[in-house]
Amino acid sequence: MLPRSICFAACGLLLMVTVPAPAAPAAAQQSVLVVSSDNLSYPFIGQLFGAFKTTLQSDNGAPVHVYAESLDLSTFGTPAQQAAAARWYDSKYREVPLDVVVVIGHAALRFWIDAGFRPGVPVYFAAASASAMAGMPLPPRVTGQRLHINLAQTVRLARQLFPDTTTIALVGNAAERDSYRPFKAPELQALAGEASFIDLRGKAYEQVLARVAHLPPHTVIYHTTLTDDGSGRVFEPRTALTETARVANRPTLIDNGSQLGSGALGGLVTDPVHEGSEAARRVVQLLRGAAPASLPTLDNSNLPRFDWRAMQRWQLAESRLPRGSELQFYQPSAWQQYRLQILLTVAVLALLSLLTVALLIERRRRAAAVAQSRQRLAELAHMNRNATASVFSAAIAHELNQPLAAILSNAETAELLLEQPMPPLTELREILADIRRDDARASELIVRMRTLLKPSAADSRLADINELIRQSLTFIAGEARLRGAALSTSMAPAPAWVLVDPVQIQQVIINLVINSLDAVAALAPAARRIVVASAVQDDAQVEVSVRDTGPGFASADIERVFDSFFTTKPQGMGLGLSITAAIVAGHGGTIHAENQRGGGARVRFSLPLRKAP
Amino acid sequence: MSTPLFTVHVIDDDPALRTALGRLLAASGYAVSLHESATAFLALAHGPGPACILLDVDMPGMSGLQLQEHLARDGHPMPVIFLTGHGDVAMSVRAVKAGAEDFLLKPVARLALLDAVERARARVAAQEGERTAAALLQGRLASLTPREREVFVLVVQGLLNKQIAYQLGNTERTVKAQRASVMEKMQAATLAELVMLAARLGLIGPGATL
Repeated sequence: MLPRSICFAACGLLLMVTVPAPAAPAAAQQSVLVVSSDNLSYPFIGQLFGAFKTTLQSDNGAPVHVYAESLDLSTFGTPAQQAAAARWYDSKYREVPLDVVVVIGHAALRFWIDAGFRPGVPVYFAAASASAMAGMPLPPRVTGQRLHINLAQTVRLARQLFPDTTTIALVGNAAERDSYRPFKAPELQALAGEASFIDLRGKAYEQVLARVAHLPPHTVIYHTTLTDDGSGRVFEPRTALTETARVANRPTLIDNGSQLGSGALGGLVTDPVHEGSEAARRVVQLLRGAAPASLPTLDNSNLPRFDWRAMQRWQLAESRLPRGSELQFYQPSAWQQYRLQILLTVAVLALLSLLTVALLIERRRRAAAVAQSRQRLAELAHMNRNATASVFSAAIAHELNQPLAAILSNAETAELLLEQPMPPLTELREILADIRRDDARASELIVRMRTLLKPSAADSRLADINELIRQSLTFIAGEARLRGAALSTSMAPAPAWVLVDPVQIQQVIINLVINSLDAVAALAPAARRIVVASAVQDDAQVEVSVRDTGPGFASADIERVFDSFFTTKPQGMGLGLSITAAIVAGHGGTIHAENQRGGGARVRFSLPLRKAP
Repeated sequence: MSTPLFTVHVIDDDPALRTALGRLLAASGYAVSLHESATAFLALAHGPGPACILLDVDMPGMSGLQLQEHLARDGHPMPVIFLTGHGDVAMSVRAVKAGAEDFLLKPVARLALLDAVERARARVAAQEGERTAAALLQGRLASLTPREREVFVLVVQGLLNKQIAYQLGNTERTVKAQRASVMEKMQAATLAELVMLAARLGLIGPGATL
């Protein structure tokens, strides 16, 4: 016996060069030879073999060496070829200790038994057609799993799934070329009470496809296996099924678990993984010394398995499936898969929408409140203007009197001159021009007065602040004259444009000047001086100030002069300056009251400067 | 106009009205001088001719009363006609108390204006006449000798020649001759006339001094 370390080293080396072991492995390691009738690359056989190997290694505990051979009997199955293969395998495995031989497919089982290889080694078969094995004598060292495919169970399944089913369309290899499904005339006849058959097996595939695309209603397709359609064309079974299911106008049932997912609805299927695992579990028992005779021969599984996607295509309700059915390719709906996320998202969206709506409502209410407050301010301003107007209506009358008096004198002069023998025409012309000018002056004054007293719609337009000051002073100049106060201006040299309601800003200026007029009333006439000034600051705003030579604000009052109902005048309402401040604020401006260093009050307000129109 | 031209000084800060009033007065035969303020008016030198002032009182600056004080101080008193845009009784009373010759409301009709100006002219003329008569009388008084002046005072006090001769230590005949000289120099025909002249000269009556 070789030392273990040498054995492991040899194994490692062999694995590294990936060449099958030419000599017997160490006695400690058991070996299994797998012989397959068909190519191990076929899906069903491949999956079965894969599952077998995996389960064997995991269930056995100790590693098992697995040899694998594909006989490809459907391609190389002539007696001469089989004899040659037998000779080759005999010499190939003569010196190889084998603990169990596993054969996949009844053809391989027959080959192995007939060749009489290794008579002492237990043989386990899998996926062997029950009908093909009928009458085959099995030596005691042989046991395994048969594969028995039943036409009746698929017909009944079709009727269970689709109760109105009357017809079964059979697609696949001709019965004589399908050793697993010997559904010949007698079998079909036996089921005549349950369904009629459209037998498309063995027909040219193009014809089959044309037919399955236009099957009568109440038909279900049973797709067996299609490797050749009798015309010599060879098919990969899964590819053929995929194509059939794709073009078919009726659902397709299958019996081969490895074909699930290729478009068929599903069926009572033999699952290669199940078969392979089952085989492995029983081979492990053989490896552990169980007698083959102690393991009875088993039949295959018929598991109800369905493709969820195909169920959706054929609108098959889950409730119609047999009990214990397994759904594959289940694609949960977005709702099922992301229920929580969707709920959360919807909740968040709903919340956001609510918030948005609430904000919109709030905004609208706010806008309404702003509009209302503007309207109120306009009304209040109008009232204030009316009150102001009554204050200086005498001045307005005087202002109007000036041009009227001039007109009268000029007209009478003209009459006098016309009485002369040679009326001086040049002078008469001058007089008429003056009359016209004074008339215009009077009517302009009336128009302005009307504008000032008209309820304002609070509309903004671009205006030159200097022009607004000049117009305001035409209203107030008369009052200033009456009160014996000198009213002068100190304007910014260039026009300064502001976006304002001109009437309201004129009102601000008039209010401030009237305030100053009140302030200087107690002084000697020569000391009553008021200056209205405008100046542009930093190209960003324009400041208008009204300063006077009055006593100024009491320092305790200076913070409150813009409050409503604050007044120091016996007859004052205390609204003038507060309305003034509200108007300025409404135009995005600021207003300040202060005392000048040399005495007297100064109120200044600033408005944002705009570009010239 | 036969007499020297009467000048009206128009003081108004409204150029349109100032011009119009000036035109009207000029067309009515007055000399016109236009000023934009009382201060500007006072700054100018004034000729000796008769004149009045048409003053808009709705102006800042000097009031009508102040203007008159200034004129009196400068030795050029002249009547001031007030012109206002908004008059009431109280205001007109105040204006007249402040020395207004007249009180006119704007707009003023031509006739009302000329009426007021004419009244002012008449008053100036009357003042001028009075001033002339007083100067004449003073001249006659100055022509008396000191003795004749004494006799004049005593005569108008009602003393007889005899009493006057006694007081002055003269003869009655001398007094009689001096009295005739006084009557002649003072151009009085009767004693009553002489007494009236004495009163106008302030030689008799309360507070009279010799």
